[in-house]
Amino acid sequence: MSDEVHEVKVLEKPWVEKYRPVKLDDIVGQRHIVKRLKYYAKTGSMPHLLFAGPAGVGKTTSALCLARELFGENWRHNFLELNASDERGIDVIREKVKEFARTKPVAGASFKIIFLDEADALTQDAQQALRRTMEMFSNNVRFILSCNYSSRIIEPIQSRCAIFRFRPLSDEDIAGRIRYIAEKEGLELTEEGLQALLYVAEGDLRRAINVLQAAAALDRKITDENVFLVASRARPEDVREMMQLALDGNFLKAREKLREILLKQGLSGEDVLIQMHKEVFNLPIPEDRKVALADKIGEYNFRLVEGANEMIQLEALLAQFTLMGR
Amino acid sequence: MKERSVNAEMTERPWVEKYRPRRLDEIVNQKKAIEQVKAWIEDWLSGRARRKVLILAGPPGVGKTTTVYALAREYGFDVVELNASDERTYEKLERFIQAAYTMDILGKRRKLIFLDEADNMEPSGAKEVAKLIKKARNPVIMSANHYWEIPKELRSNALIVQYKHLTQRDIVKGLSRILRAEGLSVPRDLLYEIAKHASGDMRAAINDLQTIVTGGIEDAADVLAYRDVEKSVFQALAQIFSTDNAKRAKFATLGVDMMPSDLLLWIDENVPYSYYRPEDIARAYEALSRADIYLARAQRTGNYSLWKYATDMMTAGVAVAGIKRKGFVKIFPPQTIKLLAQSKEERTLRNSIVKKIMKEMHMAKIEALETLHYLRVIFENDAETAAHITVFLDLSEKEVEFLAGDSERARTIWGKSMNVEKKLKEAGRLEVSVRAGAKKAEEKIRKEEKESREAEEISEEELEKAEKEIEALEKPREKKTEKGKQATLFDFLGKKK
Repeated sequence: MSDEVHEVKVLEKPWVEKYRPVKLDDIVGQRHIVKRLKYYAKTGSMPHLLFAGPAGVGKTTSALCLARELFGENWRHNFLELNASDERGIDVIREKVKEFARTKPVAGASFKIIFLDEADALTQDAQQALRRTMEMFSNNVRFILSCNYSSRIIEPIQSRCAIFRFRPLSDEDIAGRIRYIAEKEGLELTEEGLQALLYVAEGDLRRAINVLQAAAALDRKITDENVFLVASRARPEDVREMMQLALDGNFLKAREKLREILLKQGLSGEDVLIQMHKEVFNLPIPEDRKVALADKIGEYNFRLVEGANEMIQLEALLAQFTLMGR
Repeated sequence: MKERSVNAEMTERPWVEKYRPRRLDEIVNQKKAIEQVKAWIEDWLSGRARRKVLILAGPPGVGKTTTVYALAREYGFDVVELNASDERTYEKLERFIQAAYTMDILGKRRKLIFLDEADNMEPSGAKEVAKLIKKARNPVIMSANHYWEIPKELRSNALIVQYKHLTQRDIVKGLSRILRAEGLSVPRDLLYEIAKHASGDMRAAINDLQTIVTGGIEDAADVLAYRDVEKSVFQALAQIFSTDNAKRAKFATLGVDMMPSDLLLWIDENVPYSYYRPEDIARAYEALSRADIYLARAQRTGNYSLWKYATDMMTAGVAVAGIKRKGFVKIFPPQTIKLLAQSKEERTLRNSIVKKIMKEMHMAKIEALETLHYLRVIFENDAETAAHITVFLDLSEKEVEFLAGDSERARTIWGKSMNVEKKLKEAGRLEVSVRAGAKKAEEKIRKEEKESREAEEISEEELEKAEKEIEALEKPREKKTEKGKQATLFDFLGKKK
């Protein structure tokens, strides 16, 4: 915890970083996983790992903590963090892996760790290439692949990894951590505020902490009102509004909104589909329509992957909304 | 995006209708053809007609349809207009011929049957229609671009009148007449420019003139300079969005020099302006969706013969999607390219902030996008914390402004962040700052690393050898098609630059 103690006064980090656990034992929830990871740390060896689970439940934190406990204070030099959705294609990832793997691990470690976030964003073919890379450097590199769904990872990779399934955090887990942070930061946490935080967090501790800090920027007293205000800023309001416009028969306006989301805000087509799918069950429409629309979203998700221009496919989906809204 | 007054523009009466010549002698430069037509109808009226069927042949926009209506007006006929490509032509024709007969007896006005686009009639139906026409007691006029494409049965006993291409001068004359009537003036050069592009098609020229005038005559020259390049695509789209005929729509884009992926964007832009019923919009977009998938398949497999199916879908598929808005078809260029250019700076800033969040806060992209919204709340309300985060994420001044949404607040935060940075440096000198300490450790490790690299570096050849071996082992099990990461819209649009 030396990081915290020294830097607190001079540089205030965002709370998700400031309060990110540095020891495996401090990780919230996930008892069963921590136990096994500690065993790796103790023995100083591990296989490739696959971390599967929803956002904000401790996948990245576990990897960072494991690296710290394996490698000690120089852990950064034996640890490379990559993001599959960020790096331009599998070739870039391979190059970086190659570069990182060609030198010996420092500080007496017998291997280095490469943490690949969003591994399920890779296409099947890219995953095949990844597997070859994993094999090629298996003598001195261990991979930790992180994903939301292990089923989206090809079988040959799964079979080479120890799979860890992270559970969504319980309200008690999140409440405990939030109370701790609020106390440390000298906030007045109202019971309504806490309940609101648990509601918007949906089991995602990162979101809970992020919303807490933003609400604290408004007022040191954390009220449910401010929590909802902050949360609504990050809600897919635009996507929701776009769907509503389409359902109301205003296709042109809906299309305009879509283009704003895609081109100005820079969301990918897949991001938009994810949000649409999330929101479709909150729309004020008959229940059977929700199901029918979810089916449509699925169909166009398929076409988006098949097609060349995601905007065309999403516009076609909006046209289906307009048709069903009548 | 700028709001367009779609309705006002769309419902303005098309000039091609408003100024359609009402008398035969007003039709520009088709004297010889008109004389033949007059002779034919007079023969028919006097009962001396040798030929019941008249075929008006010639390129589009030279006055064939106008002739039919002016003729009917001058000689006291009602026009029964049928489209030859309509499946139900036979039924309709049958009904009208019956009706025409009864009405004649009752002393009502006589009917003239006008079969438009006769070169589009399916040969299979032509025989039946020909039989009906034989029975009819009405004069029958057909129109076609090329008379030889009319099924033989229909043209075998017909009089063929050929219309000629209009000259640029003819077209300028026609346009000037309209401008006078509208009380507008347009530079003469511009009229010639329009005429040049119309290549003998008066209807196209009038539509172009109306587009330019509606768009604001002050920048007409710009519009035309633009249209100079895009000319054919405007015409092609106007045709797609004004026909129900699959074949005609399919061939509308024939001469258009544009990649199908760009054409797709043009057609996409105009679908909701032309169609207005949800079911029609959905059908049109279904066709565009299919077109896009064909384009992707062509690209993926390198089999560009698939392009033709994409083109079929986006042209014919869209044209037959439903009921189009009536009236003047104004074609809009795609907004997406403009929009991309406009929002470039904003997008760049957002992306670079998201990258920094991903790196410093260990997040996936979608999580970083969410976090960006929370940071905005902090930057808008709490300059002190914002200043610390600015240092932590190593944000630029522009990025701070993006998050703060206000240049004055951004300056405050930026100022405070300089202070934080200063204090951080001082702390580094006084205490054993973690950063400074880390730096030292880093140096040590760099040295160590360098040494290890020299000693243990795995050679490039070795790597490649290993790679090849593994690949050789796996080849038989793997698919040959290498499918890259899915292209995003930006890749797609970016290619054209």
